[in-house]
Amino acid sequence: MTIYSVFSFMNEMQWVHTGMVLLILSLFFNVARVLTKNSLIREAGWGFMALSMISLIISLVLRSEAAEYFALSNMYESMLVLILWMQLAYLVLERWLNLPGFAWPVCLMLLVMLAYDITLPTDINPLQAALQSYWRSIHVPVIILSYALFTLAFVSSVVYLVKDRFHKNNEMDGSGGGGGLRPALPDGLDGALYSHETPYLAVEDSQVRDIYDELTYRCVSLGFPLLLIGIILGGLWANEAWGNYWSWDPKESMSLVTLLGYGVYLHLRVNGEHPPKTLAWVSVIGFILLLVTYFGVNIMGVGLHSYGKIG
Amino acid sequence: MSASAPVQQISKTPPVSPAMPEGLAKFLSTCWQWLACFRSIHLAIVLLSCLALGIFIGVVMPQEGLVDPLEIKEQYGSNYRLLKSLGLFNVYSSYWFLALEILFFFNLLCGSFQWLRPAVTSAIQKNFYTADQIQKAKNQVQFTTVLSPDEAISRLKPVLKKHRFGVHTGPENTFENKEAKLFYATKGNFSRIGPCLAHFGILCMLLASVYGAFTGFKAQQLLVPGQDFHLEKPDLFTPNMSTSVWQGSVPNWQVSLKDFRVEYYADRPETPKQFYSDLTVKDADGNVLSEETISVNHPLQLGDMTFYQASFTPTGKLFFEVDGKPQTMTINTEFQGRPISMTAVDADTAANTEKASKELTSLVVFPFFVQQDPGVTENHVRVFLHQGEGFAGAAPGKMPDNLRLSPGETGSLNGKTIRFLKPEIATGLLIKKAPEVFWIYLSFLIISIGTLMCVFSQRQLWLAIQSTTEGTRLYVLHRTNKARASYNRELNKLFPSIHQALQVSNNPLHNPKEAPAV
Repeated sequence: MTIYSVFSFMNEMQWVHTGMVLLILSLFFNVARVLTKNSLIREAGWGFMALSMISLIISLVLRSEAAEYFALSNMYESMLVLILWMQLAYLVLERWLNLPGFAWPVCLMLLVMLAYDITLPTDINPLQAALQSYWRSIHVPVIILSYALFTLAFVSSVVYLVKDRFHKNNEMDGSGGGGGLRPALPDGLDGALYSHETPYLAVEDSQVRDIYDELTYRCVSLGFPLLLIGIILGGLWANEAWGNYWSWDPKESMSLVTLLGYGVYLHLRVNGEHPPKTLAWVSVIGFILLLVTYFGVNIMGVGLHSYGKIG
Repeated sequence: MSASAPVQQISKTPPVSPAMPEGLAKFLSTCWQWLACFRSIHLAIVLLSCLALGIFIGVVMPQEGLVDPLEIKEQYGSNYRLLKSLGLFNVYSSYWFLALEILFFFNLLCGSFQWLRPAVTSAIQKNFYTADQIQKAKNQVQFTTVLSPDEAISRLKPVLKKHRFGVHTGPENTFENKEAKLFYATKGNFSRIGPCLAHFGILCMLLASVYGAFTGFKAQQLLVPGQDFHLEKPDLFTPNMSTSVWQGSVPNWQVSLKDFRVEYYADRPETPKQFYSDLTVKDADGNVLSEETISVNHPLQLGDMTFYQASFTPTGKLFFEVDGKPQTMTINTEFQGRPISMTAVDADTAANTEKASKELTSLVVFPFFVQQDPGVTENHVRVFLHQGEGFAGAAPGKMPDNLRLSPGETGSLNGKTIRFLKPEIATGLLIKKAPEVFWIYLSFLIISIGTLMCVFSQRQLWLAIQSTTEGTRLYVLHRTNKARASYNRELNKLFPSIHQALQVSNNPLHNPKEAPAV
């Protein structure tokens, strides 16, 4: 019995649509979670996201089975993998940080991405000779994982900027679950004796929104080496396939621009002279560069990476 | 971030090595001061931004390596000369981009020297704060226990180790005339080395690229089965640098092509699945160095020389049999702009008279090639017979008699038996000498490891244990170089463990302000 036969009671696209419905349910519960502190609602939001991810994985497996290769060769497939990486990263971050203010924007972003993805051509095409390499299954997923982390960093930056704009410094994030980040003691209680059941240390000087700044940093600091390694792996592959590890191809060049953009972010952060708000804006600019790399160059359809052309 | 009076460390290395002569030290110090602008992180940020902008221009503007210069000239009209003089059509080899790269190199070099020492010191050296310093630092927590100092230490160490801290015992110290025991607990020290490694890797990569530019070359060769060529005389030879400064050498090898074949997808005959060249490489003495089949993604590696399967293309030669006799046709003319072949097939029987030439029979072949002709899914030819002054079977409004033949097919046209054997396809080889590849790959590895190390953060605890009138008091100063919220989360798990292990008699005193940076 093959994997195909186990899940083939629905076809590939039906699994994608199921994943979308589950994502909508996750969005619904995550929006509800902002309004109520019921931990069951949090678990439901998380659970539906996990089910949506499983559903999309099944669709990718069925597609790969039909294509007879790992289905990661065109825009539709790469975006599906991007969504899956984002879902996985979100599920981990959600368990770790428990941030309702982050959950629903991520769900919304994923929903928009999936809705756009299913409008793209879904034909399965045979692979060109240059793409028939084990490098394809290494280079592309690593790059897309970095894109997923940068997208989450963007969402986190936007949440930070919105919270900063409306001065919601006293928001009680992390409700409803043990181990979540909790607010600091109010000013004036510094140095007071207090029970050890109360957290010893505040998240960031009584400003809960700063956790979003750190979340952005975490995503960028992991996304940066992944993008770098992805570019390097691409260079190794290019050297094997085309005889050049770097060709100043538009896709390569824009990836480097994106990398340098996030490099600026990390150096600004190390410098320590710049407020989180500036860093959040740099992260947003980095994401715009990422969009140009991912979509812009594909729309142009020029260069050595033209197989990713949209349409 | 709040900061209080700086906390002095007990151990401090002398700023200048005593072995260095005073004059040299002064000279180096002056140079170092002079290089201050080069090693600034602000310059690094500006350079990264400028490089990103420069490359972005290279993406947006048409580049001469990728687009035909004539097309660019037509597109930009009167602005062409100005934009060209600014190097916007050749960004990556323009003077300003090169200047940016050189500046970036020096910034990295000087910056690495500046950051290396504090980073390595912080990662390797065990620095201890005095009990006084720990107690006065703002980012510290205090615990009081009924246990004796020795008992408290014996219970504290396993807790710290359980949380994966490396614990180091410090020198004896006194605070308020009482003996205090100092400890330094740390983890993630390796992460401090990460940026240095990454920068060192980038420097290595840049140097290796320069080495490759002076010694490497690329060559291209079209080759048909049975043919060979000498590596010193390929169709196209391109050293990586201008020949006046290029220092490389070309091996005196002979490369022969035994066979070449293309494999197509069964359900998509217009899409090549893979193409293969059977190569033999011999040295100057005729010794076979290698005999291997190469294909896309599977090049032949011989030392620092690599042979790539780059492309394939029809040469314009077509092999036929006309009435059983072999006939080679060549694209030699055109019909309404389309290249065709027109060759006399019975020239040997026709006398060179005007009458004979009028009766000459020629084979007119229209070739159709996959990937060159839109909609064509299989290489084939359409054959016409031209006799005397007209096409055989031609009539007003009627297509002359013709045959469509795929490779290997036979047909009959006006009494002639025509068999199309095959078109001649040449393999496109790319030959590259890249002596820098090993160093480039090593640099890649160093950069990757370095940047991955940067993901982690260094987490430090300084502890002082002292006997007081209220009992044994533990002071804990905590600090991290990044990701403070995550560290606070971790400490919120560690401190209750300490609380429990030490049987803390009263609630801990906590000062949540940030400690000054080391």
